[in-house]
Amino acid sequence: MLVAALACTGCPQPATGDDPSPSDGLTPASWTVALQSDTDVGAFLSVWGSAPDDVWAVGGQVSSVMDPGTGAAYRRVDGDWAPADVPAGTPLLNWVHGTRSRVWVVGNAGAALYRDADSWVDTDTPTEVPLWGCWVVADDDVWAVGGDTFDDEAEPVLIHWDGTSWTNHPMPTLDGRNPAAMFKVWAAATDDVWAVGDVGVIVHYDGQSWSQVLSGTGNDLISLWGIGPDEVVAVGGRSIGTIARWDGSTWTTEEVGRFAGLNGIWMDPSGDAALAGNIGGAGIVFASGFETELEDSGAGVQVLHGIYGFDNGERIAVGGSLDRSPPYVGIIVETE
Amino acid sequence: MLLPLALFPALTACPDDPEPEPSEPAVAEGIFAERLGQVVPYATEEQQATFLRGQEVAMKRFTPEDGLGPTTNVSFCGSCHERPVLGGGGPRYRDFYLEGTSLADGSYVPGNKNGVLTSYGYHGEVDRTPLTEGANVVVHRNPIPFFGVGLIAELPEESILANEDPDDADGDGISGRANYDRGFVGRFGRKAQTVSIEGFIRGPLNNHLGITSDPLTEDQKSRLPIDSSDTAQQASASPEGFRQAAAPEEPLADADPVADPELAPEELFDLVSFSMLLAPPAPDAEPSEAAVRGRALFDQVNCSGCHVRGLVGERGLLPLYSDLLLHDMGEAMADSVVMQVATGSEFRTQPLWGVAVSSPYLHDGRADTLADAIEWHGGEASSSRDAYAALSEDEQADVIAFLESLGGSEQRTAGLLPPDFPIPQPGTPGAPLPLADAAAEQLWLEGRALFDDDFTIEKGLGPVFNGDSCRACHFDPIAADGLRTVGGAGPLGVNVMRHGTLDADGNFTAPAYGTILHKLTTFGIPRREHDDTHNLFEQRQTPTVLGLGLLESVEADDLFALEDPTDLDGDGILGVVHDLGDGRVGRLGWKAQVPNVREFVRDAMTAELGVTVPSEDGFTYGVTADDDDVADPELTTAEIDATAFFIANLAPPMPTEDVAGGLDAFEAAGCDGCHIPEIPGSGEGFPTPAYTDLLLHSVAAPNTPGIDDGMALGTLFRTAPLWGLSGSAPYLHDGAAATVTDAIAAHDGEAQASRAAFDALSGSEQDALIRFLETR
Repeated sequence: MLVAALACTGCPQPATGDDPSPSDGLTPASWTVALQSDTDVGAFLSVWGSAPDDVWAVGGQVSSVMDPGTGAAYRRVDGDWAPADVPAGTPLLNWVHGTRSRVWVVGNAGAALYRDADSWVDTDTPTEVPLWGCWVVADDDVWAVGGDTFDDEAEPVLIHWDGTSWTNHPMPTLDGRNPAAMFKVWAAATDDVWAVGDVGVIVHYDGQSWSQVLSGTGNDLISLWGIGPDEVVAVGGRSIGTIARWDGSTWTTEEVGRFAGLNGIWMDPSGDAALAGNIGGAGIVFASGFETELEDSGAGVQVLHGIYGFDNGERIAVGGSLDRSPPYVGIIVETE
Repeated sequence: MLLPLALFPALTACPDDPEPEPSEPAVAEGIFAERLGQVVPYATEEQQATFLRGQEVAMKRFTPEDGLGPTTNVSFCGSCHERPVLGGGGPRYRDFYLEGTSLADGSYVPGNKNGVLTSYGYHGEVDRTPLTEGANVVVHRNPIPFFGVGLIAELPEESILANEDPDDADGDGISGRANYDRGFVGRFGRKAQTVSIEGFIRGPLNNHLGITSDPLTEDQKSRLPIDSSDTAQQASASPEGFRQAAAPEEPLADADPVADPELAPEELFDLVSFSMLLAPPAPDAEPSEAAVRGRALFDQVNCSGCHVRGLVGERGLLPLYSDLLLHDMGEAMADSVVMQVATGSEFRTQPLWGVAVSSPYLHDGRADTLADAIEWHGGEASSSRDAYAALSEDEQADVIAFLESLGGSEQRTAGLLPPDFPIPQPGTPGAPLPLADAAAEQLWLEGRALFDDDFTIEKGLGPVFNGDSCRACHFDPIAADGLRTVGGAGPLGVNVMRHGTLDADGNFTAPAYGTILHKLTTFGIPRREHDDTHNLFEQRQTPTVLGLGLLESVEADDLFALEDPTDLDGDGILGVVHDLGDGRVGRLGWKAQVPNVREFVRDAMTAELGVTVPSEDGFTYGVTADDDDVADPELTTAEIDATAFFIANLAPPMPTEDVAGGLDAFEAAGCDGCHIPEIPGSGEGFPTPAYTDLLLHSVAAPNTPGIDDGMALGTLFRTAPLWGLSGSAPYLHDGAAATVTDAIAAHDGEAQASRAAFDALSGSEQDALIRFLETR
């Protein structure tokens, strides 16, 4: 495992000396702070874009960790970040994903909205718990997952949008774990959907039903991404970076001590994955293994919660003071 | 083998000279205090003030009204970190359990409360927290001392990492690797699972007390003994150096109705500062010859392979005798608990400074002595253990002498009283009644030692127990200097849990093993769990035993004279003697279920400590045999003699203040209907009123369920003596009342009229009455 100290990553050196390109995978990069939001806006929890010229970052503010809060969104068009309206009463938004045609956001209190033309459409979900993640396969095929981590009796939520309404899907029987929430969902296809959550739970949907696939870790898994049915990577760990890799048959997990807990992942088509985590942690886990490299994200001690990238090598990470008491402040960092 | 060329000049130039010893870094100067529990000498005036405030926070008793719970093990920090003084470790009765589930894929899922199994529930939680469904790992943990943690926090990561050898490249059988927490090298906790002192405090506060907190603010971090602010971190070339005091962590919230955070931000700051400023144990300035020999042997058998002499920080070498790395300690020590990279058999090398005063030993407190602890070492330590075992007895004694020279030994105590602590002066809590002669004084002191000293496994503790000494529960009030009242009352965290089954008709059935649901077990014994048939739980607060001998002296006839079982006088107050049916009357205990002090000792030794007692003519309480490995009886008649003599001759608590109008208000409210100041016919010899009739009354609301004890059915409780109220909070049989006012408000049943009368008093009369009671 290749691990570089934080202090050494201020001057990253490309691994090969070549210019980065999509076919070469990810290389360590210099990051800059693109935006810092104050307490009027709050923190950012997720970032996604259909293209480099149309990127969304969502989040918001809460008065306490039990408060549904107020949602906020920013949009980067032509390189400039600017506030974007969200409907009044929208709670803290936890995730954004979409397609060229439709952007979805989900958040606290079961909120799920999509953008139709230039306006938001609120949908009626069958839950009041926070929705932590969503994945849009198509306009009529959207998954959202969530759960209330402050309620010992709570059960995770898996819901599906068929273009008209949301439907609850039951959690499968688990191996003795008792998760309160699932945090993120990712799909390779309509019949190949993964979700990760509390206490290392990983579940898979085959088009008919959900079933558990053992992860090899009891650490919380916060997010996941993939580039195909045989290459999916999940990350998590609250106090130690945890990386789980699916190779088409099994999940294998390792812990990476030099990463504080990991919250966000995005995978380049090469299989390299960009990581975002606590205490400003950013880095790369290289394809097919667990070799990692830390980067200086420029986010200081702020939590990086979400990360996204493009084939041109650009990466964007978002977060804020999420490990401190509210009110939060937020940050968006980008690779140069 | 070819020698590196560079070595030749040195070897050839001086062939007859001994090979130069590598120079050892100098021990850091100015880090030791005179005694354990004191502030580091380099603390500024402001830090010294913070240290004192932090001490107070560490001793602050939290109540459910303060946010204690919803589930807890203890009610204050000093509960567990008490030996030999505040900031130390804890005796075996402060052990707790970690609980979790090992799953088929090799993962470990912590159960219950972040992996901690709690013993008590409040705010509507079940009284006794059950195991998580499916849990298959339940293991002991013994509290860890805090002395010197502020200096450990200062160590650069490189100092720890320099000793890593994860693949045993040097082939010595000892590997060692770092654990990590939030991206930094872990250094605190049995598995080095925590990097920051703030985290090491906030976590246990939440897990063991249910007290939530917010992380320290940037301003607070900048004022810590190590500036841990973001600003300082960002200005440093070595940012990890600032994480060992205060790493970012999330605000904590819990499900009780008290607003979060339940710990005030400045209280957290004072507590973290206090911990960081606790001086480390100072090694003996002039170690004995045995200790000097022992040190060489310690190196010879390669204990120092993991217990390296010290690690070097900016102040110099810290002689903590630990590399702070994880080592595989073998199957016999393994506990299956996974923490970050630490596997179930890996543990941090425990620092040995101050080891003389940190028994019991090992992560789960399984070892009574240092020799036992060494024998338990396995895995990477196997060869060192075997080499130690091969030493002569004298050499082994030298090794132990060396270990005991590493600080604190002059404060070592078999209980919690300081060594050679004198007989308290009259009027002081814990003082005796007048003792006849020197022989009586000696017997009283022997009894006090038996009451205070920890019972070891070797002595017969367990297999199930609530305390490992009598003082484990009876120690309140605690004086400002930390001195316990041996024989006093006990706080919430030592309440005894009683339980059983109440059927639809109101009939109570006790479990076959009795109504006590023990909190602890000795190593290797599963915790006793209740089952689904048990639907009634009652905590029992620990009452003071001060003055018990005087209560024993009350004549049975005088008690019978007070009875009014059919309320002939029509005052609504009944009262019956607890007739034990064998010619004796009960007068001690919440249900007056015990007739005298000797039976009290026999009963408590068995029921609370798991120590068996000898058969004695005329005495029926206590158990004479158990199924641990120690021969029965585990207590001798002479030991019972001494313990009973000590208790019987403890002076009752004395009022701390005269309160004008207090007694008048007490009587005006009719409190003296049950809490009669002096039992007629028995006043002689009582230096102060006891305020009890020793009779059973029902002071609960109708249909309140309760646990039977003999003829003291359900909600029948003995009128609690009110002497000692000033030092025995919380109140009532279950400790449910945090204040005297709460206790009065909870009175019902036979006390309903008195409570109403209290409510009808004027404000000043109520104040006088409350103050009067608070000062008894």
